[in-house]
Amino acid sequence: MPKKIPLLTVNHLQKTFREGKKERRAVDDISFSIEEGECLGLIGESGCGKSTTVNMIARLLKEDAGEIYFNGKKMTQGHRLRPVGRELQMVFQNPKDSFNPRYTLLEGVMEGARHYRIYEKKELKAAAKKMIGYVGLKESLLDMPVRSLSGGECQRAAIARALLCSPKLMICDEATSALDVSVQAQIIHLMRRLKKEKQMTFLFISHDLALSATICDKIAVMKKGKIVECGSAEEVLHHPRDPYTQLLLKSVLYAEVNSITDRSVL
Amino acid sequence: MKKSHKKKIPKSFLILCILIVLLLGTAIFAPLLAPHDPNKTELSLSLLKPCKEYPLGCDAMGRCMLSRILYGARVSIFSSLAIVFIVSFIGTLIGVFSGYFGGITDKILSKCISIMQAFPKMILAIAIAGVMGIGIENTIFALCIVEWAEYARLSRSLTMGIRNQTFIKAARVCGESHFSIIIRQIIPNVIPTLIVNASLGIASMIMEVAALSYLGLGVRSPMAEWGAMMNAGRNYLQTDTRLVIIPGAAIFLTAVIFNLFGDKLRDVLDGRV
Repeated sequence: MPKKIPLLTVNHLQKTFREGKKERRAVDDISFSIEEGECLGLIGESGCGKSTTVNMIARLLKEDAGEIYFNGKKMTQGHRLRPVGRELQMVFQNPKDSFNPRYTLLEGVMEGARHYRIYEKKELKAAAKKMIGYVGLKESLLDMPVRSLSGGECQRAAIARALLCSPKLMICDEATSALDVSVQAQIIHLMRRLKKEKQMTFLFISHDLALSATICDKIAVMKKGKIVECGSAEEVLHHPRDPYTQLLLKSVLYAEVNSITDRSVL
Repeated sequence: MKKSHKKKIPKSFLILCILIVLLLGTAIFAPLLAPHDPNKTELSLSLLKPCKEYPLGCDAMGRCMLSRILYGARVSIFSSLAIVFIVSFIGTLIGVFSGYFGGITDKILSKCISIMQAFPKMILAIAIAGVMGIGIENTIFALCIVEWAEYARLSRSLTMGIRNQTFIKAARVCGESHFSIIIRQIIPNVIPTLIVNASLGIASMIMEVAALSYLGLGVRSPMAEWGAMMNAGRNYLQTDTRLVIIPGAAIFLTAVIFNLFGDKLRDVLDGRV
């Protein structure tokens, strides 16, 4: 039986930011991979290099060293073009800011798919409406300015926009951080539904270990640009090896740690 | 239920729109509205006071003042509109490219903008128009050269504010090219502010065209233009102030209408963005 190729492989990725004579290594030789249908959580405190890592994967930043393979193909600067872009979509931290303020909900959701010309003009509208319904938004909101929607509605719209491109990998960069707890639960619920129904692969970036454990199969803990621990969610939560992971877990309420592996809570 | 996002357009804005249409209509249909030939001299009618046949009287050369004001509106308003259109187009392009790409492109372009803004605008415009000679096209060219930097600076700073917003990142993840991002994401978001700035700029441009004409660098005689009419009337300031006040009032009223229009337009567009 041929060996299954991971959907995303990151090898020895490095990024250093320079400001005058000062240098700051944001990402320091990190490697990980994500299988198709899997959800990897990249966890760590603010400034540990999580967002820099995903920005490099999403072609928003150029790496200094290292390689990124998507679906077995190496993503060099030249390859980071439309064919890969369609299959790799991103959901951002601040849902309202991720939409052009002039767009309505429908226009905002159609944005990516329109650009990739996935659908014919007439089909695109119908597909966007269907997707808006799928993520749980009412049809009456279609012509509302997208930024006038609530945070949760906006994040659902951002997920619908990404889904309309039929991606293989969805990167969620602190996608739940700006939302209140009940809305966070709704978004996580939606993501778990996507994982189950569409076998969606997720790269879930968060500083919230407890929340990540409710959706992630694997967790990688980052500290000062390095991955200090990587393993299955259960392994990392119940048998953390690295002192930093242990410290992170201590900051999460004991009751929460016990309940987070019970995924039925959401 | 969510409230509709559409706001009512204020009445005052509609009134100003009507006044602008009237002004432009007057300028366009000047040949139909003018009671006399604006360039026909009749020395026997020199400095004629307002009467039934000549509602605003005649100038020193015996030309109908009303006809000259109506024809002058064409030059004053349309040359100002042309300048504002050209400088806002060029300035926006330069500013958006400079602000969006940053780096060396921005360094070079922003230095050019700073150099242009370091010159006193009117003195430079006088120098350029003076070197190029009398003529409305030279006036337009001179004012375009000195005015584009202001629009470039504004659009540059607006673009820099938008460039780092998440929706630009999202557009890049969605595979949009730089060109597409500029056209579809940046320009629609900077345009409302630039339109307001341009509409406010029309008033000052009318006055700058008039000022150059007043200095004798605008239109060629005998073409009617409000600034040039004031210049012709200044010799009679002591005896017949009407020759200066009438074109002056035309400039003042037009400038006020465009200024108020720009102000209201800002309110209307701000409410919508």
